[in-house]
Amino acid sequence: MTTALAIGTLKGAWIARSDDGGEWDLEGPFLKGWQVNTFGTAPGGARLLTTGSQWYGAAVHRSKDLADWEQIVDGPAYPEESGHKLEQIWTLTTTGGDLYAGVAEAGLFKSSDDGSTWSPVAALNEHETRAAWMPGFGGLAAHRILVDSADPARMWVGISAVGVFATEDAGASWELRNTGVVATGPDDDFDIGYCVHGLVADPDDADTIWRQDHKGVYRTTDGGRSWERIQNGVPGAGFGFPIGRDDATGSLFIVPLEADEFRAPVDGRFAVYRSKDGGDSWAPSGDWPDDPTFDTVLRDSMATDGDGGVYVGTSGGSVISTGDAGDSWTKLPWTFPRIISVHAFNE
Amino acid sequence: MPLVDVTIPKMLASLVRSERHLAFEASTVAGALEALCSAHPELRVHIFDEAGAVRPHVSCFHNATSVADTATPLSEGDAIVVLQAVSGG
Repeated sequence: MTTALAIGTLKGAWIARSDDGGEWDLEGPFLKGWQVNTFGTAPGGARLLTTGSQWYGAAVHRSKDLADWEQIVDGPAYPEESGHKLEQIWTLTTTGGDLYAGVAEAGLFKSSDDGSTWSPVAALNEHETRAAWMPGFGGLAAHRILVDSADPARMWVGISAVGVFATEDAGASWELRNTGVVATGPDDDFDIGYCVHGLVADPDDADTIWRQDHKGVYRTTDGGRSWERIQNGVPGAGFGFPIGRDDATGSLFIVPLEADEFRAPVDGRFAVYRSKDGGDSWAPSGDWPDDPTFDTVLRDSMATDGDGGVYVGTSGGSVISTGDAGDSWTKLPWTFPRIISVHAFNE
Repeated sequence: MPLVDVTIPKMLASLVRSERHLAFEASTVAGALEALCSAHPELRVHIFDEAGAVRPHVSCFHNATSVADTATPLSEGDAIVVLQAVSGG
């Protein structure tokens, strides 16, 4: 099996390929000069990426081979009358024959034709709490979508800095599920103001979800109706961005940072932390350099391949990988622009 | 209609595998931009916002003068230049 590691940066995308995780070949840049926010796979198998630009807006691009990319003409777009602006497309998720995109300004879009055309998920985008939604530092963004593979009508969407929304009816209605999480900006009228950063679920039990939040690391076992803090062994205040899970071992991975006031590893001790017990306890996975490293990993820049492979891209442009679920880590030889997204495709 | 030259930024040209310098028949600046987006529909989202206005960080020049009104009429051989505005870092 070849792993194609897609690396999205502030200035384009690169693809690194390896048969064994040892030697890597690099191609790119693709979409040279464009900010590449995320990657995905369409229901029909085409690979996808999204671009965003403060000058030129956001778009979805499609490729059969991760090399020859064509922009989709009719990508996600808010109706003019909505008053919302589509600034970025932060995440793509496929379930069955449908493809979903989470965007900023926060909202969800659905495509049922492999991404050729899109429609807004109005029940979420125009939720009764919408007028009170406030952006986080990274904008008002829907950036993570989880789907229950056993019942695709059940979905969860993370929106910063609003919270986690869930639907049980394929998007027809949505409810907030953040009880137990500390809000960053509580609202007088609605139970919102939660700055979720990362979400990952157990593929065999969609109600078990782990959450890297602005205000700590959390776990739910009831689909988000209640959350418990799980930071035993986590340095700092529990701040961080991505959270990932290697489905082969069940190990969880985070990159702890000191706090929102100082978004860097505590004392420069950069390390990917691992939990081998479902989040009950955390410890550095493998060995990390003693030299201070004040690098960070953004929320879409951790990928897993389901077979012990975990890949993180840093804001300093490094890619670090493990093929043994975190026992040992290797830095890939290249330095990229600020890394915004890392995805692993099995070929 | 007059034949005019339209120049687009390299980032947009490479996106649609086009030359930077294109020629269209158009009687107004708006018509020239519409002709551009008809020829390369991928560019519409990058030049116009949801309300159909030219994006705030996209600049449009007509014969080296910044375009304030896209209804500005064109003459044969006029030059329209679409630029990435100087913003950001």
